[in-house]
Formats: sequence, C-alpha cells, structure tokens
Amino acid sequence: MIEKLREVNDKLIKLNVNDEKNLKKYKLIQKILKDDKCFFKMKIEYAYSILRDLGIKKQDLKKVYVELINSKNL
Amino acid sequence: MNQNIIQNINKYLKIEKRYTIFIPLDEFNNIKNSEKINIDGQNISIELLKKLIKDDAYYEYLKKYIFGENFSLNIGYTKDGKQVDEEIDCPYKPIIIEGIEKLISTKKMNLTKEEYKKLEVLKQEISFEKFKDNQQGLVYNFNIDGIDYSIPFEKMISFLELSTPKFKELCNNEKIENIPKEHFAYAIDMLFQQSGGYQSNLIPPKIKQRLKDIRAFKIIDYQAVNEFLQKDPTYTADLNKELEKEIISQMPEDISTLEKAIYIYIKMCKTLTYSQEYYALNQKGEATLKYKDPEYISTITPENNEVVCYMFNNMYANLLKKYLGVNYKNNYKSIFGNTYGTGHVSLEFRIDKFLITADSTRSILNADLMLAKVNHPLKGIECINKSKQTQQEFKESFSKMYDLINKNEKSEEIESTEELINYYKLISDNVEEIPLTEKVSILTETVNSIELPVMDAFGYTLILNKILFAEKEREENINFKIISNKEVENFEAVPVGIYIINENGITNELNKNENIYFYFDPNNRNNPLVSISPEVLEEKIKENTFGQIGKRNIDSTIPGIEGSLGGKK
Repeated sequence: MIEKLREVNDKLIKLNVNDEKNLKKYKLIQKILKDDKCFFKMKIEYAYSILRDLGIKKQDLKKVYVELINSKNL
Repeated sequence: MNQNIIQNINKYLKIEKRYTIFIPLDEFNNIKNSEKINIDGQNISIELLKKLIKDDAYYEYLKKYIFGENFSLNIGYTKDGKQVDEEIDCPYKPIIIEGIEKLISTKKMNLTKEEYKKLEVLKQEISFEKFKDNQQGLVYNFNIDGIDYSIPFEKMISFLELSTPKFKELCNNEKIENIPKEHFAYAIDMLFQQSGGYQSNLIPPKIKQRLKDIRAFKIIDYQAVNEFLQKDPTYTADLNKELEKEIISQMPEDISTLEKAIYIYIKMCKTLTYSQEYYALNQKGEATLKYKDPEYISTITPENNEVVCYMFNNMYANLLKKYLGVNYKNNYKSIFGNTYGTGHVSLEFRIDKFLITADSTRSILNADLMLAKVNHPLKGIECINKSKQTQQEFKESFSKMYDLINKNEKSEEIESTEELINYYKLISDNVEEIPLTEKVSILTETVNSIELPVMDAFGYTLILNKILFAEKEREENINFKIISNKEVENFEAVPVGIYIINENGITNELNKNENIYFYFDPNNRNNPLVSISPEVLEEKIKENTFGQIGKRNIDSTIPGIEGSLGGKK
C-alpha cells in the first residue's frame, strides 16, 4: 500500500512542478514516505491529512489507514 | 614571625606541624570565611593567599611546599593541641601562584619590592622551563593497548609546543611520531600525571589549554585506550544454527567492525521478542527457572524466539566474540552480584575508539526489541564516549545500518519522521479532528487482526494507543492495563490486556458504570480482542485468575470494577 502512495505522490510532484506551494508539500511528503513505517510514527490526524493530500477520498480514508497500520506491516 | 602560630603542640601533631600551619581560631575563621577567588575551578581564600606571600611564617611553609620539602600545605586549628579540629587544604602549587598573580593583576593586592622577589623565587622553582630541564633526556615507558612504547620526554613536549596550524594538522593525522594518535595522546596525559606536572608546575596558557582539551577528549579521543583488554570469563552458550544464520547471513562483508556490531544488534532486536511468561510472572517463580540456565539459549530459534535480558546479552556477546573478536563486559544490576540469571544485565564493549553499551530490554514494552520492529529510533545501544565527534560518528554508523536493514533509501539529511511531520504541520491546511468513535473503531479493527508474538503485540498496541489518541483522550476516555492471567495451559501465567473505554469520560463509580471493557489476549490468534462484562472481570479478579504484574504491595484497580488486582498480602 505504501508503495502505491509513493507512486501517487511522485505523479503529484510532476503535476505541480510549477506550483511552488504544492510542490514543497509533496516533496516533504515524499521524504516522509521514504520510511516504510512512517505511519507508525505520526498521529492519525496527520496521517489522514497526508492521505487527503494524496487524493484518497473521505469514504476510503479509514480503510486505507487501517491497512497502513496493520501489524503485518511491522 | 607570626606569634600566633601555635608552638606548643602534642607530640602526635608534630608530624602534622611540618606541613600544617596551626593558627588560633579567629584567624582560622577569618581565612575560612573570607572572599574566595576561583582558579581553574578551585576556590581559594583571598585572605590566605595574601598571608602566604606577605606573612613570613606563612611564606616559610609555602616555600617548603613549593621546593618539595613538604608534600602538602594545610592550615589547621587545634583546640587543645591533641588533635586537628579543623583544617583547610591548600590547593596545588601552580594554583596558589596563579591565585596570587590574579590578585595582583586585579589590584586586590599590592606587593612590595621584597615581596615580588619572594614570589619570583617560588615561580622559578615551579616554572615550566625548570620542569623541562628536570625531565631532559628522560624516556617514559608505557604499555598501551598491549603495546610497549618508550617515548622520550622531548618528543611529547615538542608536540605540545607546536604552532597552532601544525598542532591541528598532526591531531588530524592517524599517527603522531609514528604512534597511533590515541596512544600518543594517552602517553602525554600519563606523562603529566606520572611526573606531577599538573600539580607541581606552572604551565604556559597555550599548553595548559591543549592539555585540558586533550584530557577532555576534545582533540583526540583516547577514552577507550586500555579498556576491555581482558576477556570476560562468563560462559557464552552456542546459538541455534538457524537463528545464527537469520542474524548473520546477510551481513555485508565490506562494512566496518563497528557497523557489524550495530548490524548484529539491530537484527537480533528484529528477530527476537521478550518472554511473555517471564513478563507476566514479574520475573519470579518456578516457571522462570529455565530462563536462568545458559544452556536454554541453544533452544532459541527464529520461531521459538522469546528471550529475557541475560539471554539476549549472552547471545550478543557470543556473536561479538565469534564474528568480530570483541571483548566485552557484563554489567549486572543485581543485589546478587554478577550471577547469570539474576537482576538485569546489559553489555559493554569496545570497538577501536568507541565505548558502547547495549541494553535491548530496558523497560521491556518500550525497549529496542519492540522499537526495532517499527523502525523507531533505538534507545538501548549507545556510544558512551565523552567526545561529541565520536558520538556523532557512532550515530552515523547506526543510521547507515538501520537504513541498510530496513532497505530504506539513504537519506541525504538525517531527519526523523517526527521532524518531518513538524515541518508538515507548518505547511498543511488539511489537518482535521477525527471523532473518538472512529478512532476506537480503528483500534478494535487493527488490534483484532494482530499476528505478532505476544510481547511484540503489546508493544504494538501501545504504539497504536499513542498514534490514535491524544494525551487528553488517553487520560479521560481510553485506558489500557496489562495484567496477568493464570488460567492458561502450558504457562503459569501470561500477560493480557484490558481496554476501558468511555466516550463521556471513564468512570470509577461501581454502581453507575457506563464504561465499556475489552479483553485482549494475543495468544488467542482467532479472536484476540473481545468485549467483556464488568461482572466477569470482577469474578476473575475475585478468584485471583487475573492479577497485577509488578509491585505486589501497590493497590491497583480497573476503573469501575470492584476488587483490586494487587494490594498488600
């Protein structure tokens, strides 16, 4: 799942190459996502915010998040 | 001559009298209570310094001390001449002289021409030039890290007297005078200690500062020199071959010895877990005896991977010795001394200039055995050198190994997720509050799908508690207790968890109990998390099936549930 998020983020970086504000944000998210276990190290509120930034729909946030923090990802 | 110096003293004090100036009480108190001056971290009475140079009787004692006729100089008071009732030790010779000179330069004291001459006599005796003359031609012998050296005094002094650029250049080399620089720095420190140079001579400021920096390991870190030269005689049990392969087989060859030691530690933390039974029994009882047998270590495999502190220690020591040739020391924290299987133990060892401690099970649930599995920063392996540069080098080696094992891309900057999230907070306008009900739903869903060894499962739930709930929510709305359950097969007791949840605030009241309770048993792989009624909880506590883990004489209750888990027996 996190690999998919990285791919989405990479696409968003390319799409926002002329939007300084968003580009800065997505480059920061790119750094955060480098760590496979990053979602175990941040509060849920920021996790959801990052998922929203990556285009995850509101109704899917919980499902995606639960998969990201599943114990099998340890 | 100061008439106040007591002459009639008991014979037992005759020896003391040689190097102690005995004075009346009012004079003694005057010196003791006078304003102080600080020289190199030592406070000296201004009144005393003045007397030492201005009062002939005091000066005579000082002169004998400076010229080496007496080995110390004290100021004393005796009530009846039979014993020393109170005493002030004078500081080292150079401190006294520097103190007097500071009083002159800050105009707190003026000297007559005669007094200047007297001061000059003393200064000459302990000058650095005189020190060098006395040492000329001498060769100092040292045994450093098992190597014998004979180093002429001149070589060590000329290094200290180098110009600043040349001095810095040599300090950055691997060797000085063909000797490893750590050994050379150690030799210089020993020279000044053995010759009495620190205590007995006026050292020029530039050299004094260099010596100070050397001794603080700021310029060259030789702190590890002559440490861990002996092998610890503790028996280390052989590891199961499969486990050893799991830990070692993918370790690269082309990394440094330090990096290998760190690699092995991290791999062990990722492969092993803490013993649930040992934890549930609070490390006591017959069931824990097998862990105290060193031979039990050889039964540990990647599947049967539950260990306790001294087992981990023993296994790590085994691998360090076998693969890296490293000597170590077991650091026991036990009232029974250094006995395997008692108290808590960590490992200390040295690799080159690095002095390292390793403790993977300190605080158990929040220890490296858990943290390594979630890529959290590890706390149990540390470089204890005082040199900041050495510590930084250790951290860099550690990050490199952690990234290697976690297959992370190498970060250009070493930034933690926490630091990155802090930046994210500043630029994001997308952060929203999440309802407690949704968080609880996520918690129950994730906890119910846990597939981890028991103690790792508890570590994981503690992490979930932290990332899902704000501090206030953890105080008021959701509580988690780990207790022991004795109604089990195969073990004497195992740890289980109780969640207490109340959206409106957890209540302690027994009659109006609106709390919701969940029972968490990671040993039950099919259904680890189930709801449990207050009545069943109370029953289990009453019949002593559920008990407290930890201090037995502290009362502990589950909010809203009658009956305590602990309590005094």
